[in-house]
Amino acid sequence: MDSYGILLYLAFASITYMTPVLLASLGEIIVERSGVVNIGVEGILLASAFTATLVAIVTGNPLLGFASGALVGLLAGLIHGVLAVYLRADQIIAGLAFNMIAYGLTVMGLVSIWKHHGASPRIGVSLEEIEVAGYHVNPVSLASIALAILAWYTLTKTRVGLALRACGEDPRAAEAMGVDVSRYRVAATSIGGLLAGIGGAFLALEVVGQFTRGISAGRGFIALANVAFSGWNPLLAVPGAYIFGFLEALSIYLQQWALGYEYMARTLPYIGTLLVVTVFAWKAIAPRSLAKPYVKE
Amino acid sequence: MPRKAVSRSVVIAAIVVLALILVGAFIYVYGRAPQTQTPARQVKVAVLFDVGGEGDLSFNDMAALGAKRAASDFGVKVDYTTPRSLADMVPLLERLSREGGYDLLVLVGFLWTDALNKTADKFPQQKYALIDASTGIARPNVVEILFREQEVGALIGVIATGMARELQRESGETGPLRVGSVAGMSIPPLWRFHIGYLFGAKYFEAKTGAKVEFYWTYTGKFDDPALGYSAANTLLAQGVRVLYGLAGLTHVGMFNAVIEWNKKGGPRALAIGQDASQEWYSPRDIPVSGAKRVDVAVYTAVEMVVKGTWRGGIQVLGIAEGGVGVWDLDGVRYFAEIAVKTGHLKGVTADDVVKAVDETRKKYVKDDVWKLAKELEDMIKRGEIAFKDPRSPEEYESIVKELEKGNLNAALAKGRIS
Amino acid sequence: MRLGSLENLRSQLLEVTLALVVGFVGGALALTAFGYNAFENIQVMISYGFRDLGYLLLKSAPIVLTALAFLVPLKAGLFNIGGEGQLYAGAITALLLSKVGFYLAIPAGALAGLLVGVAIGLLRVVRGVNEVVSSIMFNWTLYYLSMFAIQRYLLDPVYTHQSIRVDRVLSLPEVAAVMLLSPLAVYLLLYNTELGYRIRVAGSSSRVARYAGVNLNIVTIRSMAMGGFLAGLGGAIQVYGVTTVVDTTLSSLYGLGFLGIGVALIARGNPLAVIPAAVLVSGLLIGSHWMELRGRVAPELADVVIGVVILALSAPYAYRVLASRMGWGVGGG
Repeated sequence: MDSYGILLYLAFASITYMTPVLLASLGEIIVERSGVVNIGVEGILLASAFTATLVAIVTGNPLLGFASGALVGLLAGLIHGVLAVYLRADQIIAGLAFNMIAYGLTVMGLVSIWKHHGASPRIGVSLEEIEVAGYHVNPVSLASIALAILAWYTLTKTRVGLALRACGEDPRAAEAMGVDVSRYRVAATSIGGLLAGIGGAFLALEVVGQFTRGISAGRGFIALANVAFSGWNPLLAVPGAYIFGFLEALSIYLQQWALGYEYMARTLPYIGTLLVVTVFAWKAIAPRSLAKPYVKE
Repeated sequence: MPRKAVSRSVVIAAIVVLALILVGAFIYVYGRAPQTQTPARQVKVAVLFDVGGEGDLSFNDMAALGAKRAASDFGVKVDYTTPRSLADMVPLLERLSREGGYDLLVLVGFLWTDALNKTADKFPQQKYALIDASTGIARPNVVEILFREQEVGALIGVIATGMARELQRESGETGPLRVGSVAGMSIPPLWRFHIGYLFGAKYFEAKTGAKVEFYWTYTGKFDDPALGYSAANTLLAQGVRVLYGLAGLTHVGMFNAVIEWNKKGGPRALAIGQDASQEWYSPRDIPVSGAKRVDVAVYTAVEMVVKGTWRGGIQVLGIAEGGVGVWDLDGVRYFAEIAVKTGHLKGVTADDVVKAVDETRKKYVKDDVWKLAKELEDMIKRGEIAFKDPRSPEEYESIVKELEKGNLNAALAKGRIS
Repeated sequence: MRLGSLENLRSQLLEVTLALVVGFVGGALALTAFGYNAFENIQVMISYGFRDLGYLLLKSAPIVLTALAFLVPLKAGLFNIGGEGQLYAGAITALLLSKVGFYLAIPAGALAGLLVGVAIGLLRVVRGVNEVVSSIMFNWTLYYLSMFAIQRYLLDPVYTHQSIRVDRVLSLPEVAAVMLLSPLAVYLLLYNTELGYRIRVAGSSSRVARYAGVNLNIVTIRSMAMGGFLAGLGGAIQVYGVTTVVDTTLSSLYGLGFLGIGVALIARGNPLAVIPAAVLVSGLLIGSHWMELRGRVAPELADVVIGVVILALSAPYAYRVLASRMGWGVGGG
């Protein structure tokens, strides 16, 4: 393939590479729009990737793997929601601690189930790819783009979305509207966790083919950046995740010609993302009550 | 305010449960039998890993393997620890040396070099083994074991290019033979692998006249398999058909990319593992692995202490010393057996793995390629040629540039290839 | 401290004590669940972790600074997750200037961190770029740039896996002085200066700040500048006081910025409490080495134990409720 063909190939392949970040971003947008911040996304990716691997190996069914990953994500989100809303925990500490605990527990899980500190066995099953215009695309990747549209529609065009956003902007007013802020917030963290959980399952089942320790490798934090990049808009999260995924793949490709300058090439996705958000400078204002516990009077 | 009351009672309930569990835990702890004392004269060894620690599918895992084998062969007690950063290494090493509780401290990886330099002379009674690095100073209480990664790289280079030739014959693809690698960070051991691998590919080119194209990719990470997956896919799209994994956990993603690629039914590709024999992962896709016997290094260091044959100094292990090489079928079987035992391989026996590897090797590594590799191996073993060990990134890059032009002798410190 | 803070202090101490108890019980449960002797291992962790005061101090000092780097912008309502990158900038700049002399190199390192902080602040003020995006992108950019700089310009001629060594090393008392005086300086600045007042007003509510005549843009840039300065100083201290070299895989710097965030939050945003919080976390980390050595507890399980302790410290409200229920005379939330 010539370099033009390679660029085209990377452009298509990046749809797969962006998927875990996109799903985690969509989840976190919903969480943050409700007024809660969960920086435990990285930990959710780890926990769900681990569970999805285990379940898919035992059952031999990738769909059950996805379902279990989603379930673990949902539970993690639920725990975070209860901590944040009912126990008024510091949301940042709770998220940071969750990341540490998830990392530790998944490695301990590896050790106790498969007697290895770094890697699970190969899963051996994954979803069938769909062919689009001669390129292979994962169905979950396409679904995640559809989910972005659905999330955007729900947040901006429905009553539930309006109520959710009210919780994040002005919970007191939301309460006056008759919205149960606490319940909305816990529901939002749970759904957000569920989406990140699908992302983690995708990473294990569709990308790596197994679980390895720290498999998320910072993608949870990239998702957090993408949430702010998108201005808390699910539609903009798609190009955000895509640009990052594409530039990362491109940076690896380019450094083949840059021996000695490979680390310079590797800064491309980060500088590129920063440039895009700086040049276009769309309005990105965080929900006003983000990370503030709501105390009823 | 009913909800608040609920949340409070939930809190109280949680605390009560916690308290009960606490009591239970204490009863459990104190109800346990006392720990058995270790016999007085048992040799004790501490293995201090690199910050990556066990589970890196690379030299830390191999070090642990060697230590475990030594423990069972010699009845030695082995303890392990993993420093959290470079900053922890000096205090950790100082304290362990001062306490003197271990007959031997095994330091795995080049990050320990500095800490050893600062500690070794202060504690002349303490024995140390530094694996995969050297302080450059010979001390009576320190054994340093390095590897000639160039040599294994060179053999793999020849074999990889030979496999690329068979793959091309099979698929009917045209153009140069394309071989590549998914590598981790740019560090001295990887420089040596790069030089060797490129040398081997170009050696094949020089000897057979086939046109070879070489692709080398630093991902910058040893623990990001998703990155390894995308790097490998890009190489496959570029027409690279043999991929050498030199990135620890990162190249697990490379394996998956190759396995998935072969499922699609187009022209086949093959992967090559490194350090341990990794063929068992998927024997029809990974027929060959390079060996770097960190396990032997650790085992030998422990053996010297146990048998009282300790001799300090710097050892460089290459092909001749059995420190590096290509895993033979016995090695493949050994690691496949471990994988079966730990449940990483299900429904497959070690024999099945060996059989599949043997078949795949027969199919893709032809006799003339083995012969070529053997020829090179013998030259290295007899000391007719020796590789350069680059002392700076500039030297490393200039060697690579010369090799790419086909100047094989640029990589050699001794001998010539005509 | 202000009036009535004694009562406040008492309740906070009680919270922290309870949190530590809950944390260690949780950690003990995790150990027990994986078949380790919880009591012995936690004993090993604590007794070894807090034994060597010099080590403890050297381990804590950079974390104190990155914690403050997170804390100051937080007071202004900014989430400076970029301490990691600012630390790299400080460390590498200080290393680049090692031949000039440490009295210049260390301030230059702090200044480099400051510049990164200002860049993040400016991007927010001028282009509306959220600081979380720019911080994370700067972190990784500086990570790779630092590795590039060491590989290209700072490599040791003999040990090609690390940088050249700095000539003059800070002594233990000098590091201790930085570690103890920085939180004090930050405390005084926040609570006894006009700028500190403005920062705190800006952090409480942007509406209040506008009424009070506080220019949010200036406060944003200044607090980010201070945050960056502190993290950069932390990087310089790590190189000149602790490691004296930086390896080409950056393992000597990696993660210090993130640890600082946790420490700042454990300290509840109180600059003085950052010191004990950093010492606590450092001690647990140090102790985890020995837990692995003596009890064969995997380092990852030590992460779980530390994580549970940190998690337990995140919900003071829960303990306040508990305390008031138990009638310990501490006001409920």
